[in-house]
Amino acid sequence: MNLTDADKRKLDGGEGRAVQHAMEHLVKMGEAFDAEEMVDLHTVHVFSDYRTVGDGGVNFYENLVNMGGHISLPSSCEPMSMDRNHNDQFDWPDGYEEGQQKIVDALATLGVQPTFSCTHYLNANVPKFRSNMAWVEGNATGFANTVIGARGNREDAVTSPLAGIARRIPKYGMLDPGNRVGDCLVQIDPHLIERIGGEGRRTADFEALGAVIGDFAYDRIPVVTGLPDYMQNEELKALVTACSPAMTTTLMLLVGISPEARTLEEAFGGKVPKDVDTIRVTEDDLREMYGKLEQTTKEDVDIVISGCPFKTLQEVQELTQQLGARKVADGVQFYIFTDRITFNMAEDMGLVDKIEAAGALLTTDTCSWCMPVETMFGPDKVIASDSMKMRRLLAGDGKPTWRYGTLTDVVDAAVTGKFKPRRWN
Amino acid sequence: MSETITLHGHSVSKGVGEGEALVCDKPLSFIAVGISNEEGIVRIDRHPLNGQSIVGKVLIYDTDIFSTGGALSMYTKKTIFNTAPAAVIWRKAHNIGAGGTIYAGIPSMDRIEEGLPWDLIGTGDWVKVDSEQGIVEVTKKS
Repeated sequence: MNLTDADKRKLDGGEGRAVQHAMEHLVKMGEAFDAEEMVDLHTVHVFSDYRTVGDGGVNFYENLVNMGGHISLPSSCEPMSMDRNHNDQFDWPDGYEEGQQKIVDALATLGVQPTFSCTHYLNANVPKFRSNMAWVEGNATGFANTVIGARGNREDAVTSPLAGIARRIPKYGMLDPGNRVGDCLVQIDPHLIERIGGEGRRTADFEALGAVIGDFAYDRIPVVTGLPDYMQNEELKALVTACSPAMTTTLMLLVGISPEARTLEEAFGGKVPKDVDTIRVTEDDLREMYGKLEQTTKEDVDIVISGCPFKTLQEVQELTQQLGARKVADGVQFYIFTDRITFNMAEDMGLVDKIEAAGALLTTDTCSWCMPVETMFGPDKVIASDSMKMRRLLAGDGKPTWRYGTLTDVVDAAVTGKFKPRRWN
Repeated sequence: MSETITLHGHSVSKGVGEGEALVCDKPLSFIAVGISNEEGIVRIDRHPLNGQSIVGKVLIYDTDIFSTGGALSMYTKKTIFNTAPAAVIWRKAHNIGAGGTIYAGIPSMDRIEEGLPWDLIGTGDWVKVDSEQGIVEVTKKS
């Protein structure tokens, strides 16, 4: 890899031990992916949750602090493993709070903005067209690459903070403009567009559509045609959520929406390849995806979850309207996840009071993915959710069983204790 | 005598490691919720390796899926619980696996020239990964 004199100075320790340590890793990463050079970094988003990173993660961050590491670029961090505003509502395992606190403290010392959010791109760490990013988090890198035209991989939890400290990153993957072209084509049927989304349905519908696209694309970049000319941030957020778990890449070229896909031809780098691998997505595909996301036909639910990725204020309003004056059924826990910025606004608007009066919980800073689900929920519970992402990430031995439906379906399930999906059946 | 074959590939994380192969042709995630940090056992819905231990194995899978936090989960498996694999081979490396194996010092490779890794290596084969040299030695299970 070609290094500039400034890069070499960093690598040789001319800017201190932390920058040197970071550059040593970044050079290895660049070589692993055959990068020819490094580029300036503009924004950083790092990992926070103790459940995932464990004591190795604590040591990793504390070592960076001890080496004098500092992140001076615009930054943000992922949700953590706890909602410390509602500590009494949870039963954390031994040592859990201490481990999480060490990460929170280290991130503060490193200079990372304490967003504890997966949707920071909407309100706290907003990249621009062609910004170079070192971001973890699939929905965030998906949105920033797809909707904004910022450049970044779904960077790993080690490389992101190290790139932030070095202020450089290898020009690989989505950081190289030459790689930002489509590999396959997804045509959305107009009849599906007529019926998809709407109040109480948009999150589940667009997350399921994203999963159809993502399962087809997998490690390729899909070009998508047939979407509406205008899509709300909430719809786009739901669609690109498939950038993890369905896809391993993190760019969808949405023709007419993505800045690098003003036309179909532009999305493919100038000319649509002959015999490009193509699928046409219809209502049947969405119906089938809803079915695939169900693990059981049991109607009785124990837990209801909404807000993955985190809810925007408009989505909190939508949920409050769906709930109305109804109360959560006895024996059902209803968790709604958002960030601290949105929580504060929701509180000012009286929405938090309404949600709590109904017996539901609007959390901040965390979600069920970051929390220890095996010990908290256990394998015998049935969860209803409108999040494809949470459903796919939290299934397997020792974990709860899932039902998938729209916001309307899951709010009704929270109120009645019975999940009776109506959408796409 | 068991048959031994030599394969060639692209180095991701440099080093030498050997162990019994644990093979699948699907993507995998090192996140704690997918492979427990404490035990190193795969717990992912409908995954072909569900219930298997990765500890000390030469792990072969397609590429990394799910959370980018998998890189630090891998580091915790290696440095705290000793539940990491001895080496990793992918069809195609993802930043998550690359960043995790490089930082944790676990040898890893991708792009095996002779073909898809799961067509060439079976679960139970003894595999030595030398990513300094870009070589994989496979002693077939007898």
